[in-house]
Formats: sequence, structure tokens, C-alpha cells
Amino acid sequence: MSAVAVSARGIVKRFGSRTVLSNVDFEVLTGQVSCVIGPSGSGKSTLLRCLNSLEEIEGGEVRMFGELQGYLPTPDGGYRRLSPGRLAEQREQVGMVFQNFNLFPHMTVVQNLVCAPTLLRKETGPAAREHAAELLSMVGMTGYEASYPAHLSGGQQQRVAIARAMMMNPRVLLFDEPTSALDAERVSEVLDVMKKLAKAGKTMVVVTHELGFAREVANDVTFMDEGAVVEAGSPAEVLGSPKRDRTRAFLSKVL
Amino acid sequence: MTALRKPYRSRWEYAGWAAAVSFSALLLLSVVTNPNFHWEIVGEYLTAAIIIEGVWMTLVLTAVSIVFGVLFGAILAVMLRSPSSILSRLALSYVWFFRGTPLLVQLIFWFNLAALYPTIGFPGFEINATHLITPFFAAAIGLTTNEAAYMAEIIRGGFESINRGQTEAASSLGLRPRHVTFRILLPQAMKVIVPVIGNQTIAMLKNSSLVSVLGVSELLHSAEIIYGTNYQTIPLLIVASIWYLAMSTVLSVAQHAVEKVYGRSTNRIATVAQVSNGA
Ligand SMILES: Nc1ncnc2c1ncn2[C@@H]1O[C@H](COP(=O)(O)OP(=O)(O)OP(=O)(O)O)[C@@H](O)[C@H]1O
Ligand SMILES: [Mg+2]
Repeated sequence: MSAVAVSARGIVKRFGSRTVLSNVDFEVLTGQVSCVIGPSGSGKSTLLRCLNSLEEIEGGEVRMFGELQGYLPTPDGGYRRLSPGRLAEQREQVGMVFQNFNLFPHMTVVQNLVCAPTLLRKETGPAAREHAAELLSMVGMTGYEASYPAHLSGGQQQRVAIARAMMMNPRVLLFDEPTSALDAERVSEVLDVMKKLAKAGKTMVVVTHELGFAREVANDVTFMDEGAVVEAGSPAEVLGSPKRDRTRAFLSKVL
Repeated sequence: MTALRKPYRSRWEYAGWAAAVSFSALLLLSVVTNPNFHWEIVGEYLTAAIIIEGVWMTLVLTAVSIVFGVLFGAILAVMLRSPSSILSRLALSYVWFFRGTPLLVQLIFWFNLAALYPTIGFPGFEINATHLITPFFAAAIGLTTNEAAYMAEIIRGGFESINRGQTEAASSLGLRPRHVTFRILLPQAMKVIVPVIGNQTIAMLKNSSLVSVLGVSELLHSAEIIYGTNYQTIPLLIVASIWYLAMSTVLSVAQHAVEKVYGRSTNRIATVAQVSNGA
């Protein structure tokens, strides 16, 4: 049994009076891939953003390898938000890949990669460039070092974004619909890279509509609807023989 | 051999040109031949030493107030966006005040600051305000502080034009807030900001003439000094206008050149290309 990498307990997230996550529990073991599926607006992105402290939460707690994320426990049993600097420190160990890639448009591919480790003094310039070359080769983007993101296809941008997220050697990778903005024929090139990472033992949380990927790669699948976890379990259970009507209804629509 | 192809032109366009050219010619003729304009006086003073000095002073004031206005405005913009409510409210009040009162009034206030506060500083270290606040100092401070309020809004707008995903991507890498602001957002905001700064500079060129009321010998004041003695008001205002037009023409051309550079490489900004060196 491997150790718990990510654990979210009783997460409550509100935007104004609107409750977007109500009492969500979620757990990923080290080295495993966990897929999150669900209809649009069900709170999948919000959950991912809470895991990375990009959102403040109204209830519950997120832990990465046991360490409380985003907050400091106070003596009275409450929580106090961490300083921006401390939040940034915690985020160093979590990589994130976005639907819209979010590469820095004013930097070349290699600058996108080396930016964080050099600015944060994790690696010297030459070491970072060497590291970048390794990762670009892993994602099949060798030779594009000097290109600007605008000159790359969506699939290429997303592969660079994955390499960029890997530069900080994160212990966990979060993916928010990494292939949803891609042309159909570009989807597999990104999924292939993600499969490679999964095989290499990366701990990954993947929000996706690619059920084929979930079936093939995921150790766990979580189905969310209306801000709550409806069903969670192995891909065979959740995707193969779902127990809940809502899951069934969703799957029949997606397939 | 390809046949020569001409673009479509409306008959009305030819008619419009004919009308515009003849009207301009007549207007020019009437202006040039009207003895009341005293073109010989215009020619005499166009390059007079005092006028040239005035041109220099106008350029200096414009440069100083734009450069410091941008720097101060950038600080204010960062404060406006700051999560700290003290900082953002301070900046907001500043912008509110300096955009909400006339520049002319602000200039006169700075000029008279010595009357309000004869000494500036704290016990043990006091400066005589009357010595510090020369007309030039009052003019430079007045123009800069006013410009900074506008620049703050311009720069904030530049920041706001950037997709929120950029901040999130940068934060998720563990970059600290200062890196996010200065390495990720600012260079991208520049693309929006730089052309507007060009506009502001051209506006400042002419707004700086307001400081003539403080007796700073910029271009308009130089012209005033001359027509105060020879009463040739119109010819000297023409002299000043010719110089203002010349300066703003040069600036417009420069602005278009800069915009072209930014337009050509929509996604390349040279100033930050050095991040890879870990600078
Ligand atoms: N910043 C915000 N302010 C207010 N409401 C928000 C905000 N972000 C998300 N929401 C709301 O929270 C709900 C969940 O959003 P979320 O983006 O997490 O859904 P999702 O499951 O990722 O959907 P999709 O598949 O469309 O990406 C939505 O109804 C959305 O409108
Ligand atoms: Mg989403």
C-alpha cells in the first residue's frame, strides 16, 4: 500500500452565496493516476484549483504528503491563510497543466521552461537548460527551443506546458482538461505524453472528458456532479458498472 | 505578361480630392498673402535664441514628467492591484484626487506650496521651501504627479488586459508574486501600455505649456515674453505653434515606428528575452 499523496477532506467552496463544492472528499495515492469526470459546471476545475491553493476554501482541508495546504492551523481549531510567499513555496511541489495551455507568450519555449527554476534559484542557467532539453525530448518537442508559443499548434503548446510543469520536479501533477481545447487529431499526442508520465510513476490528478484515457491509465475515477462526489472507484467500477443513475446518465451522454 | 490592374476608385473620390486641394490652396494663399499675419516677423523669431531655449525647456519638461510619471504610475498601478487594502486605497485616492482636479490648479498649488509650508521636513532636518520650490521644480513636480495618476490607470488597464490564466500558470509554478508581476505580467502589459504612453507624451508636449503661468520659460512662455514687448501676438503664437507641430510630428512618427515593432512580433518582447540567463 503506497502513501497518500493528495488528500482533500470535506472541502467546501463558495462563490458568494453559491456553493460550488459541498463537502468533497478526494484522495490520491503516491504514484497513482486519478481521473475526475463530470458534467460542465460540476466543480471539477474548482476542486483542482483548491488542491493547488489557487482558491481559498470555506471548509475542510487539503493535504499533500501530510502537509496542510494553503492554511495554518490556529490554536482555536480554525485556519489562517498562508502568506503569498508561503503559498508559492507550497505550489512549487505541485505542477499544473491548463486547458488553454497558458504558456507565457513573450517567452520562447526554452524560456518558458527555465523561467521558474532559475528565478527561484533551484537550478543555474546551464543546468536548467540541460534539464529543459531532457524534458523537451520527453514530450517530443526537441528543436522548438527558440520558438514562440504563438507559432506552435495547440498540441505542441500543451506538450511544452507539460514539460514546463515538470521543470520544478513536482511531486504531484494536476491536469485540467488538457485536451479539451485541441483538434481531434492532436489529442493523442498529448495523451501519449501523459501516459508516459503515468508509466514513470508520476502522481497525477486528471480532469478529463477522455474516458478512454481514464479507462486505460487511471487507478481511480471520481464522478462529480453539482459540486459533490457522486461516485468514486476503479475505472471498471465507475465507468464499467456505475451504481448511481446520475453516473449512468452522464456516461450515456458522453459516449 | 500580366495586365495592369487598378483598384476601384469612386468618381466621388476624384471629386473630393479636387475640392480638398482647391480649398487648401485657397486657404494657404489667403494665409500667406494676408499681411496681418506678419510672416516676416514669424521668420525673424522662428529660430530666435529665446524661442530655441523655450523649445528645449518644453522637451525637458515633457521628458521628465513622462519618464517619472511612468515610473511613479507603475508603482501606483502595482498598489492599485495589491491585495492589501491600505495600498490599493491609498493609490485609489491619489488617482481620484489628481485626475479630479484641474492640472492648472495643481500647478499653482505646487508653486505656492512655500506659502503654505514655509519649511519642509521634520524637526532637526528642515528645508526652506522657498529655496527648494523654484518655478521649474514646481512645474516638473506638478506635471509628473498629475501624469502619474493617468499612467497608473493606463498601466493598470494593461495588466487587466492579460488573461487570468497567465497569473495562475505562473503561480502554479511557485513563482513569487513579484516574479508574477514583473517577469510575467508587466512585459505582456507593455504591449498595451507603450502605444498609449506615446499618446500621453504628445499630449504632455502641449499640456506643458500650462506651466507658462508659473513663469517657467518653456516654448509658450518664451513667445509670450517676446510679444509682451513687441505686441506681435499672432506671429509669435504662430512661431510657437510651428514648433509644437514639428515636435508632435516627430513624436507621432516615432510612435508609429514603435507600434509597428510591437505589432510585427505580437508575441515577442525583447526586454524580457533574458530570463533564461537567470538575470
Ligand atoms: N470565480 C468564480 N466566481 C463565481 N463562480 C464561479 C467561479 N469559478 C467557477 N464558478 C462556478 O462554479 C461552478 C463550477 O465551476 P467549475 O469551473 O469548477 O466547473 P467544471 O466542472 O470545471 O466545468 P467545465 O467542465 O465547464 O470546466 C460553475 O457553476 C461556475 O459558474
Ligand atoms: Mg473546468
